[in-house]
Amino acid sequence: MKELLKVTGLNVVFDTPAGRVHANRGINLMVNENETLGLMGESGCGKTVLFLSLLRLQQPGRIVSGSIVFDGRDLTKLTTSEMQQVRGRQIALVPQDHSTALNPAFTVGQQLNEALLVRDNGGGLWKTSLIGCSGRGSQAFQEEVKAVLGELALGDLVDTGRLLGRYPHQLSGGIRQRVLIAMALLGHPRMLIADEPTTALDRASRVQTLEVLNRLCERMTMLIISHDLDAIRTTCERVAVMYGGRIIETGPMLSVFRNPRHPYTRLFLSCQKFSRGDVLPEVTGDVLNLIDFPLGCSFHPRCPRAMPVCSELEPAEVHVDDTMVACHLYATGETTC
Amino acid sequence: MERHQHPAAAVASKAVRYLIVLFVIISLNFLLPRLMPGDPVMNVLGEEAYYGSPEVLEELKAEWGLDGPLYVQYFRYLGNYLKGDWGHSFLCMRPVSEAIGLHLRWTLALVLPAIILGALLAAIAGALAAWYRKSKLDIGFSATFLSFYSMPHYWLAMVLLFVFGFLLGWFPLGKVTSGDTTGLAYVVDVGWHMVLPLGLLTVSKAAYDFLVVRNSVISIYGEDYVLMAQAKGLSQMAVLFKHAVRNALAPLVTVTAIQFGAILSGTLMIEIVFSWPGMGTMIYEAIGARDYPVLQGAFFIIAVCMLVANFIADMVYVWLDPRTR
Amino acid sequence: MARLRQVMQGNKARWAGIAMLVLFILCAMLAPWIAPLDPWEFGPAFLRPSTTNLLGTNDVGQDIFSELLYGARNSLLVGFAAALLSVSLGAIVGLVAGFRKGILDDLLMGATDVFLVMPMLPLAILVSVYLGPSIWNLTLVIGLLWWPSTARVIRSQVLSIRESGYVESARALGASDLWIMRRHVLPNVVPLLMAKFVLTVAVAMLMEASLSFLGLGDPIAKSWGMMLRYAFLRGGFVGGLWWWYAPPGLAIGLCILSLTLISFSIEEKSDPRLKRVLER
Repeated sequence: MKELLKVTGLNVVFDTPAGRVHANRGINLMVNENETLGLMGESGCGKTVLFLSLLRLQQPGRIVSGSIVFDGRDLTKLTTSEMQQVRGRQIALVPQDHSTALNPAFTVGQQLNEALLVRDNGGGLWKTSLIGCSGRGSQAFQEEVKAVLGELALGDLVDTGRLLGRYPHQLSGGIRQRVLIAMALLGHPRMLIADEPTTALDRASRVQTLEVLNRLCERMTMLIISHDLDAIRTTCERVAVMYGGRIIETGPMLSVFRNPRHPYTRLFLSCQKFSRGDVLPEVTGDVLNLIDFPLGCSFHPRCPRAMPVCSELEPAEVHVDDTMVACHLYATGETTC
Repeated sequence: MERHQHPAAAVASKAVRYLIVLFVIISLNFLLPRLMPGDPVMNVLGEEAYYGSPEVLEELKAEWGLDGPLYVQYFRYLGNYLKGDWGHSFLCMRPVSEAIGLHLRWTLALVLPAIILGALLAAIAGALAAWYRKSKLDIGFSATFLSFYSMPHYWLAMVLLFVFGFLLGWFPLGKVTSGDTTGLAYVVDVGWHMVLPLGLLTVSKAAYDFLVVRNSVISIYGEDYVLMAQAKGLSQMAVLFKHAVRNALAPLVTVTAIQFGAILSGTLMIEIVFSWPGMGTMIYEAIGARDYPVLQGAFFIIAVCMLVANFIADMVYVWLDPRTR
Repeated sequence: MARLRQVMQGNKARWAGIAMLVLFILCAMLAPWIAPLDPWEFGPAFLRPSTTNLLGTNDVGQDIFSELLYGARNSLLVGFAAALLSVSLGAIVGLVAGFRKGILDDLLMGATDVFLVMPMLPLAILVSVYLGPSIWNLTLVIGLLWWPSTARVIRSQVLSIRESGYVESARALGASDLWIMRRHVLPNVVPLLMAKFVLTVAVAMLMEASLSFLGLGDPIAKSWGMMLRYAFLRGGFVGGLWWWYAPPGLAIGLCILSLTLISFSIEEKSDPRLKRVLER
């Protein structure tokens, strides 16, 4: 298997009036070609900053150190215009909130056409101006959109020509979500980042979107950010769990789900599993404050199995069987960092 | 509130509002000379007629509907106004409607291009200032436009005319043409005379709009669709001028409608300095001669212009923001 | 650090505005003491600036610098008096309309709408022409015509406060209208009124200058608009005597600028949303 994306020691900070926020701290992450990686973690753990950093859209945050090697090139070293060629054409994004991610002033067709123009002509202002055009575009454009929509199980559901003339507010959430996926696919990207693809949807649309994702992950590299365990389970081969700006556990999906090693992962998974049951276990304590870190492991104030060493030393990443864990419970004595 | 209305109902309620405004304005025109201190006869007919011979005065009174009870006078007045009979100018020796027709086109020749060019200038400058906010460019633009916003237009006109007309001699000292030219030469001549007043009005209009565009673009920059546009691989300028500015246009149109009266007043004032034969110069001369019918007619027609501008702004707004359709 | 600089910058603009305005007000108040000459006294005409006549003299030999100082009095007086009148009117209409929904609200807002699309300058010209030239007529005309925008803003503010969660819950707890008005509405409306007042002073001063320039001001009284009028009419402009027409225009402009800066900073302070936008 070939590595497509390899993130090493990525540090991202935000300078705010209240102080410096360390949103990502020494992230190590790897995604193989044609593999689907699921990224899990509670709100505010830094997953959003991580995937935005992959596209170098983390502003006003700054990447202070680390590398993001994609297909042999370090993205942190690219110029702005080189980076623009990566966005959409190499790495495409399916955003979380379908209700705000489409520009309300343009038709669906205009916005899909834009993705196509970017792919074929680059993202310059003149080459992509289509303010005046109907958005229905050429025959070839129509065919291509139809094909992609067909793949998204929308081909039979809607009349493509009519859909292209619609404005985002005239569509249902499920359709908008799939328009966004189609927009990402039209750029023929090597990798797709899907941010919470199922959270903002109703039940029926969620099931359909899951099917679509399932089909897509057969043929392309994907990074799915979600706390919907069903979505992760059905699509991902490997998972990574984030807490406090760090990846605290990563490994094959089945292995992590069946035998979570990090105490946080255990709690996180049990919370989600019980979400339809009656007794809700909870991760006690406050959500982490990313400005004033506790000394040592960032999870130790909330950790049910905290040891004295946890409040003194940041745990190193250690390999246990096929997974990687950053926890003192598994420390072997030698430190790697 | 209007969002829940049927479109036709919204148009109808708007139309009713406009009709009320017109009615109020005509009534004001009727009432003002009769309510204000002084003899209404003099207020309507002007001094010259008033101090003429009594027989002529009686004749004039009958002619201009100043005899009979007030309500009769009122309905006659209303009827005359709607027929397009707005009285007679003493100064120009012609019907008011004719005098206004002659001057209005020159005012519109300044105002309409200034509004479009000014909005364009504000859109570009405001977007750039928003993108490079807190930079020297932003501060420079803000300071320039704020100065133009603060200074009285007619004073700026005097300064411009002094510098570019008197000192440098690049542009003519006023009026619309320099003499008898026809065809293309006429157009070029008029264009040359237009440079200073139109330039000044354009920048003034942009000064009204600049902050609005800047602030809306800044707030639009936090929207998800802007992030999405960047993630698609669009260049910064494409994101800025296509996605952000496009959505800042609707507030721009609203401001244009609100500020239309101010920009029109500015035009009236600078016309006087540039001896531009528009409504402003006409009003100025009418004030000097106490030519009341002309002032009333000007008030009426400018109000109509305001209503038309509001109506157009409403239409354009709906066109710009698909969500309001 | 960056934030500190931002705050300083915001403050800088405000303090510059306040300093300028205070300077103008001082000039206006102290004019009889600091003016070097009597601005009504005739003398040799069209003098260039010199040590005796800092800005030269006009067509009838009056000292322009002294005229400028005295002019501040009428210009500011008209501005403040007209703004006080119009903002009070607007506030009353806005508060009443916002508080008493129903017919009264519809009527008042109908009237406001009508006034809002009415061209103010031509109407002010028309009324002034009938009333005759006088400072007080100008004040009255501007004050009585300029209230609708204040009324509209205040009403929408009152409505949004009325419908907000905390007022609803106060009402549910049995708070009276008067108490809600004092406790919740006024504190939210006062900063808005202040911003509106400052802005209206600017508008009124510009209007006064325009009307005076058109010949509708008191020909004897000294005001910046009248100075501009005479400089324009009596050869100051054509003769290139910039020291005659430049100072009054600049004075009006700087006054408006200072008022605008002040009103921006009040608005910014009272509207956190706006502040967020400005600070980003």
